[in-house]
Amino acid sequence: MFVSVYHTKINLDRYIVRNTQGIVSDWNENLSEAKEKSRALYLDKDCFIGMQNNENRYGYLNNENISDIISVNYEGKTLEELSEADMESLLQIRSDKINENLMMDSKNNYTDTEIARFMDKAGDLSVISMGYSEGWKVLAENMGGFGILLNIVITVLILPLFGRDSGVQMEELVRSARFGQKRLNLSRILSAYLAATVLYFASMMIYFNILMMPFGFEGGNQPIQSNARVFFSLYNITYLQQFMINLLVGYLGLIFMVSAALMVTIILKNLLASASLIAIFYIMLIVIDQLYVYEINHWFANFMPVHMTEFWHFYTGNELYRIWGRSIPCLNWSIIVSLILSAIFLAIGILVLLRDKICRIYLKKGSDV
Amino acid sequence: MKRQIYMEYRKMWNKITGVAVLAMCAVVILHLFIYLNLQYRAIDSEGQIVEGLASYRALREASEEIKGTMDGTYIRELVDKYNNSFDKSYLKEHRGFLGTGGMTKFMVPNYFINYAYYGAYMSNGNDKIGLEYDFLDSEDEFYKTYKETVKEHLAEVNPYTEEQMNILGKKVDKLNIPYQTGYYQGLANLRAWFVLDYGLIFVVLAFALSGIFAKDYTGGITELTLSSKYGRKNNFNVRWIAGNMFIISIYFIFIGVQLIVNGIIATLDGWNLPAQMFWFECLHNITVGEGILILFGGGLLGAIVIGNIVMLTSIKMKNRKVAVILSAIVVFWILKSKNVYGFSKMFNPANFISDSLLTGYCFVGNMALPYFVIVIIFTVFYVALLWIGIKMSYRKYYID
Repeated sequence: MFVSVYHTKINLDRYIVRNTQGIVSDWNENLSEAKEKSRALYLDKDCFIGMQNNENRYGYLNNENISDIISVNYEGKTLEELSEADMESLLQIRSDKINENLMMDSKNNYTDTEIARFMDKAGDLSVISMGYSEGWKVLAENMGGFGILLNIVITVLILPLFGRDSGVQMEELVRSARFGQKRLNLSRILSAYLAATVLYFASMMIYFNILMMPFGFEGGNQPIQSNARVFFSLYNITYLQQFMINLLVGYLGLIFMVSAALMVTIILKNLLASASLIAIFYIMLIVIDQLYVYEINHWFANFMPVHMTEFWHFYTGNELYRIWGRSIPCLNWSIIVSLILSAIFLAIGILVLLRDKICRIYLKKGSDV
Repeated sequence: MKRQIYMEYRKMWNKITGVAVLAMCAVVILHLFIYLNLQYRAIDSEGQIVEGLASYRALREASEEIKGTMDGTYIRELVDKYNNSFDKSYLKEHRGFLGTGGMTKFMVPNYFINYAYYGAYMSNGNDKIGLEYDFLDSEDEFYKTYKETVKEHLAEVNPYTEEQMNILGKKVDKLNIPYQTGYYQGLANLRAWFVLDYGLIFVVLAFALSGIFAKDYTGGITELTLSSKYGRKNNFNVRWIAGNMFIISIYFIFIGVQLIVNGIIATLDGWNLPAQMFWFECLHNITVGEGILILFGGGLLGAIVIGNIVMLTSIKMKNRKVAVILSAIVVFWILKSKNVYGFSKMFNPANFISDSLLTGYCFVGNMALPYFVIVIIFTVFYVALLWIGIKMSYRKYYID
């Protein structure tokens, strides 16, 4: 809750308009004005001409949003520098820019078929509605950082399930009880995943509500391309769909960490030793995330929780994986690989538990003889 | 007492420490081998582009041509060599080469010369390696320009007064020119990765030292410890000394891994080049090797401060797990706030490894104290404060 309130506060501060004399309008006025003046607002020639004729026609915030899009699409040009031809060919210029970036991408080396497929998607966007959606934009920007924090906290919380507390020395007693093997192991594993799931979704809902409340929940049905940051995205989805995708990806990142934590605690049988390994693993991921190297990101970091929760690259990176003759988008492949790795970690953990059980049986048989 | 210290020190090498140290070493080695392999390529002496780990040896071999003392003759020959080199034409065609992990033998001398022009705005890149400068016509003119640039750089990035700049100006005038140049890429990698991975030591200490004064840990404080003849006074000193010895051990393991792996990949050649080849605005007449040793010293002091903070949380919380969590939060906060602007960043132990140790000064009256001296003073102050905190808590330590 503290983090949600803190994020909300710092994001609301960004909507305060200031000049050299002080505050011109606070966030409430700014957002209310944007809501009112963005009804039936579309990014098209009429919109540009309307803005040119009357600077305040759509309000400060909508003006800023539209100017940002103009800047990225028209290579730094301002509204005043746009010709009629520029205004009419907004989406064509967007498509051309996307095509140019795809052709020049030396890392992915797209084939003609892949580029054609991308350009089909680019062409599917026929109109960009600029309805009010500030809350969703802020949510998209901040939920990644919150997701990482949740990931760390929940992973720490589930460590004691299999991590032994050397001070208590109850493990042998527990294991020798009637249900101390299979049923206990299954209960612990299920508890870990259930607890992680409940905590994640509950926390995300709290975060969602606290963050969105001051901004309002409107705009979930607006296209994500109304945000300059993802203007060139080839995912023709709405903010609500983007939120659901981000929520799912964040959840899968958490499942990965829970599986890894379970495996590590089962093998090491020590709470703090496992915690130290998880902590150092996280730091390694954070350092990798800071040093962008395409090959490391492409073959490793894209499937790791830290980079997975930096959702932007899924929508704008256009990374592809060519597996068995198919070109799979990064978002899809990251989900698949993350799930496979989680399953592998869980399987290793279960095998170690079974091995321990078999060792105990042999020891018991040996002592009986 | 020596035996006691040894036993307490020995107790700290448990499963948790073992796992944490192994993980730290694994991460350091992986980082080095993977990044130094993927990110870098070099132009060798035959004009071929060598990629990966082999690029460092190729660069070292190619750098034999540009080794020497940067006097007037050398500079004139360098200008000639560079203008007629394959490297120059390659860089002209591949504009992003040097800024994306590319390396050429001309990097070291040419960047040094370009610093004399760009000063505080110097960076890596193809546009900062040319040699078309009038001040290269004579050795005196070049070094005069260089010294003026150093003075301007120091004045621009630091809030020194005019009087303080005069004092520093005298140090600039005493720099031992002309400088030697050569290859030092292995040392550059060592410094870069030492700084990047330094935070790992803090994490290891947070886990390994959290139980030193905990009562819920068999290696921590027990009734037996407190009720024995020397339990209250002697045992406290013994644990504190053993804790600090442990910190030094962990640090040396970290440094050792860095030295060995960087030495294997890119060698540690260039140890005796002047520090100014690497830290352009450094006013100490020391070598690159000595500069790196000073950074290592600063790192050790930072680790000792963090280790003592962990020991203080251990004795305050008396619970190992709570001490770990609190120490982890403190470590996180220290690492997160190391990049704040202003004078306050000097107080942060995570900055005890910054290049400011060699380029920064603090004035006490008319005396310019190098930052590495300030770091020693800070460390003594922090550790004394933490030691007093730990000792006061130990006097009142109760199991229940």
